Amino acid sequence: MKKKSKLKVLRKSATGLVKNLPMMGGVILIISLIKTFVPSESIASLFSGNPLADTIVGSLLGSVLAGNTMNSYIIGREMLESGISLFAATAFLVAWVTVGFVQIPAESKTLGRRFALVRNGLSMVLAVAVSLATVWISGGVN
Amino acid sequence: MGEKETNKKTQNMAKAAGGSPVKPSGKKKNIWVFPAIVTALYAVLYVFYPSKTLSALSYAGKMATVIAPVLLLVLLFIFLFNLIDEKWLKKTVEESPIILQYLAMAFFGTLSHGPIYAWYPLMGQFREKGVPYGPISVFLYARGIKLSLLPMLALYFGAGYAAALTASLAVFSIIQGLLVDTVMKNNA
Repeated sequence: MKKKSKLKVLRKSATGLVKNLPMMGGVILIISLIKTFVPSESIASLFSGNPLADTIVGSLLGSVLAGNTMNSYIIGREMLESGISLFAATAFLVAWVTVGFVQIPAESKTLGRRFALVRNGLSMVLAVAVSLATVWISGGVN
Repeated sequence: MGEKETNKKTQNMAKAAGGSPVKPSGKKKNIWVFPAIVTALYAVLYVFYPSKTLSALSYAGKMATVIAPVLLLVLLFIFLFNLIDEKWLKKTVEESPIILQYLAMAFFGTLSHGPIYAWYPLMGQFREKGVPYGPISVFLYARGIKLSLLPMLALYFGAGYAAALTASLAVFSIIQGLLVDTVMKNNA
């Protein structure tokens, strides 16, 4: 294995990371806007009571919203207490951590637009499947 | 080695590793367009909702503070990854069973911390060195498993539910990898 100059490699690594900082900054700013302008209480009003439709809405909502995972647990619990099905709450939790619509520009820039769209689209669909599997395995919330 | 030759090498490696290569862009992508649009959005919103917009800006500052240490960790990972010889990595990737690649990336994804976008640069490096899209998507999906937050998840939804969700995410991260590889190869 040819030895590389560690300093050169470190410089190359830092340059690669720094190039991504403007995009990351943009993502942080847009997430902060959504968190501030969309209160969590208003989210519950989007659900109709139909379990299948609510699961899809949960997945869509989790895909659009982003931020700290702890917030998704809090919102998910609020959803359950508002009478929204566990399927919908689970799809929401899963999509929150696996899909990132607001991050697609940054993901596209680094890994390609097609990959970003395919990965996020599949993750959104899989959020429904994970929700079904989780609720089926666990038998519901204690 | 010229840039053209390096690009050709990267493309060939990626192709050999089972995925379509990351095509070098002919024109330089402007990394400032997206942040500029978001900044303009802040400026417009500030006119109508000054207090809320400042609150959002303050929250962004807090997020940036939380992310900074994660970026140092990412830099360390990128540095270590860049030390790996490309030819050796290419050979290892080609010779490893795909399921082993998926399992390794699911493991690393589970252990990773911080926001998903902090890990894009490292994933970009993986891709440039010929790692297929599937294992990369496994890593990104497995990041949904938050081991450090398991107690909170169990407290909010029950231990059985927390275990079931964690197991489901782990299994579906592999399914995601298989699906992404299939779709990306078909579209290559």
